[in-house]
Amino acid sequence: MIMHNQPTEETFNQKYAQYADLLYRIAFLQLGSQCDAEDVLQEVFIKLLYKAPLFKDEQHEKAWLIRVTQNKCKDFRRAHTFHQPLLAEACFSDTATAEGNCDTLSVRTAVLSMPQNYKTVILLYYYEGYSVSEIAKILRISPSAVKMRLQRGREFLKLELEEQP
Amino acid sequence: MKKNELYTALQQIQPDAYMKERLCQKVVGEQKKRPTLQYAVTAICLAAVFLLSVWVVADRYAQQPEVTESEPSAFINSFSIRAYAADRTVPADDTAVAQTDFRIATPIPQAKIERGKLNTYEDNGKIVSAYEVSYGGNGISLEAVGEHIKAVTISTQTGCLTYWDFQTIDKMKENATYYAVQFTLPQDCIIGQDKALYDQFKKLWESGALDAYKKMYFTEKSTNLRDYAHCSVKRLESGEIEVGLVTEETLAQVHQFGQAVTMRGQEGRKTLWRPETALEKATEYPAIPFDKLPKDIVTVEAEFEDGTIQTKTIEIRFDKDGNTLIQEIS
Repeated sequence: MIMHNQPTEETFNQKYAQYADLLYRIAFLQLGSQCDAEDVLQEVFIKLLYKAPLFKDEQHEKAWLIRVTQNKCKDFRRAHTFHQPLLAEACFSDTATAEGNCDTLSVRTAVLSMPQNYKTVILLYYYEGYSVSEIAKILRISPSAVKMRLQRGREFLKLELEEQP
Repeated sequence: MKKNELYTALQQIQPDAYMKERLCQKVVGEQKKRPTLQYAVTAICLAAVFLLSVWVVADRYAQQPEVTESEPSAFINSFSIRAYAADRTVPADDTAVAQTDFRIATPIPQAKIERGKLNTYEDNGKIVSAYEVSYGGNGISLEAVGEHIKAVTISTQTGCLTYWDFQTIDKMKENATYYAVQFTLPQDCIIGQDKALYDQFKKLWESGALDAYKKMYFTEKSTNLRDYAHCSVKRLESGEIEVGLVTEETLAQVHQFGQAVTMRGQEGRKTLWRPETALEKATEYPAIPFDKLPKDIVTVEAEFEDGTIQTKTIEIRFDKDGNTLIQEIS
């Protein structure tokens, strides 16, 4: 459905409930800052509500949003090279930090310090439950590249967690 | 590490409870105002361009001197392209380092794609090897060198350009118009240098420990760092820490980024070029030979004071060893 007419608060709320958590996770992992992730999400939702193409189904829309978020993060990093990312620990919300145990914090810190290429692939595979071929289609890369990123991501996390005290 | 640990760690990355409200206001509320503003700005710009064009044409017809065959033009408009690895200090006449003749494919010293550490992984029982990729020199500085040049526009097909107008920045700093807010903190307020300095400043700022400075220097100005495009935190020779905040409007006057930049003025017409697409491909496909990476076509257009325009096109590619080669193709 194309929604190039003035979107209502209801439309926004519906789309927010559907996608905000996923898109925020992608943006936060890529940028390492709540503020920057929120800025990116703002642009993504504006694009979705004002300039989105015709989607075949919900999956198509979701895949498009993941790609747009990835690209917006990339643009953001390029355009704000002078913005220093916050330390990973400082980025977690108080609630999350209070709830998370030490192991979870270590894992999350390790995920945040991963090379950019691996983060989204790891998130889509381990959290969203997409298959390798689905991720390849969404990110428009080859399945072997997805497999390689997953493998390297796993290796990276293993090494990082081993090195932590 | 177990899968469920990773899942829990990822699950805890969540937007705060008020983000929905904030985004809704910005996306649904603010956007309503946008079309009107956009149309108004476009209309004003078009009107200004039209009036300027009329004035320029009229002025030129009125003042055009008669040129006879016995009075040839006082100078010949021409320019050359100078290129060198960006992190090198290049004296103006050091032609050994700053290359200017690209009739044949010429390597740029130190501007080289390199494969660093070899990482080996096991992928479904197969051993996979991949190198880390870096670009020496941090990019290439491209300049148009010549006399009577009024403006230079450089565009790239697969690379990325960055231009800082340092002349204007210096002038604005002299006139105290560059920073929207500038103040100094005591030297023992923050420990460290560079990134650590910035990180600690940001933490202190958000914690409220520097609220006295907010009251003192931010009268009728936003104290939210996100409302500024650039925040400079540096230690002065005296040991004090200088903080400067630059607005989006100011930054837009002195910084350009993307696939095309236009540089005006007599000095400082150099832009940083980086092979973004080639670097991405080299990272994504570790086995790809350097000489098969995507090449770039860069167009340099010089506008001279008499209104004439000259264009040169260069091809930037890599040899099998990763050296950057530049060749003029027109």
